[in-house]
Amino acid sequence: MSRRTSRRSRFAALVQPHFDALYGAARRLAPSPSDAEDLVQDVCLKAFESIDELERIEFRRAWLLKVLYHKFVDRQRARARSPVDQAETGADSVNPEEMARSEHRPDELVEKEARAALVIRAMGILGEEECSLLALRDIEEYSLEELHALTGLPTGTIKSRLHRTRSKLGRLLSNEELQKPVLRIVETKR
Amino acid sequence: MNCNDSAERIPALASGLLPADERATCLNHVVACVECADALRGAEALQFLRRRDAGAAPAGLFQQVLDEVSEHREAGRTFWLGTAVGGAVAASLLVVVMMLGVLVRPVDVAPQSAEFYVSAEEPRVMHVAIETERALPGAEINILLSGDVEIDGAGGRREFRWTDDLDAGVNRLSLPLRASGDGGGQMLVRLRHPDSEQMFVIELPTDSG
Repeated sequence: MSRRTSRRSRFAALVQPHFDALYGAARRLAPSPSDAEDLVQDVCLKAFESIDELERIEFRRAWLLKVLYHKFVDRQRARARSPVDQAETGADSVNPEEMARSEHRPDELVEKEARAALVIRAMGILGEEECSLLALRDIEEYSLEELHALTGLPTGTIKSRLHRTRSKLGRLLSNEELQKPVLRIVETKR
Repeated sequence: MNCNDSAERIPALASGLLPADERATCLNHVVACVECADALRGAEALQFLRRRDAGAAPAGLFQQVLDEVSEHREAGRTFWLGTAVGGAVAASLLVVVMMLGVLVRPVDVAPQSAEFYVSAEEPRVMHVAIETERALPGAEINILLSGDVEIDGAGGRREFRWTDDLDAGVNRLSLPLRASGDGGGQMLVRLRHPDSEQMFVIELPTDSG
């Protein structure tokens, strides 16, 4: 077996069991399925390069999700620096098919998506470590003991950081600037 | 109830799992404490996000991603290993860029030690030496080509991205370049590491331009 094949097999054995969880986390954060796929690919690229480290880790899913939340913050920052916001999550991103499948009324669905967009934007302003720790606890539901094993931080420190970050997120969500709709360039015509 | 007690209960309060008696006590504290009120708002937002329907990965996506990431890896390894493409002429240039500790620097024009022209007739190898003061494990390397220049044998691909462990000292990339027109081009190289980032641009004139 060549080195390349061997690395691929090792990667598949380590990552495939967690792939749906990774994609699910990405889909909650990304404005479209293709953005979610890009985010998952970023994580997999990192995992592929860090395969020796990944093999030694006990909590692989948590490690992969942590990388995913870091990459998510990176992407949100890059998007914030970009003069053109190409794919902002928000009411406009509700597609007709999704609307037809949904059990919600269209106006409720639009409102939910707008709220999700606001939360996602606020999460993207958190630091990478803040965002990943909070998401692993409150979205992915890892225990404090598991987070201690993953980060090496004492549980008391984890608790206080989580509380501080929840407060920070709450403040960001109240920020009027953040609630303003993002200016979007939908199409450029000459 | 104080802030520590409240902080312990806020996630359960946000998810509706706090027993009724504790809920009332906790809410009494929250309405009087700005920090805890903010934390509750944050926790409720995360619960909202957690309940969003995410769905399973589309069929075939894992295989597609697997192919993509191993291809990136191979592309990167090719450059580190030297001139992988046969027939590249010896004309070469060593571009040295010092990576500056933890400083984040804007795009800069790399100092070039000699004239270097890309040719449409034959691939010419550019050696890019990345010198770091210390080892940088897991550094992300991006190469982006613009204009009338391409990497020979890469099928017209314009962007390459991979991660690798950089050793302290000089790490050498060997890039066989070929002109695809007369206009010349640029190559942007970006190095990222958790505590440092550097980008530099190398001008690539053609010998016919």
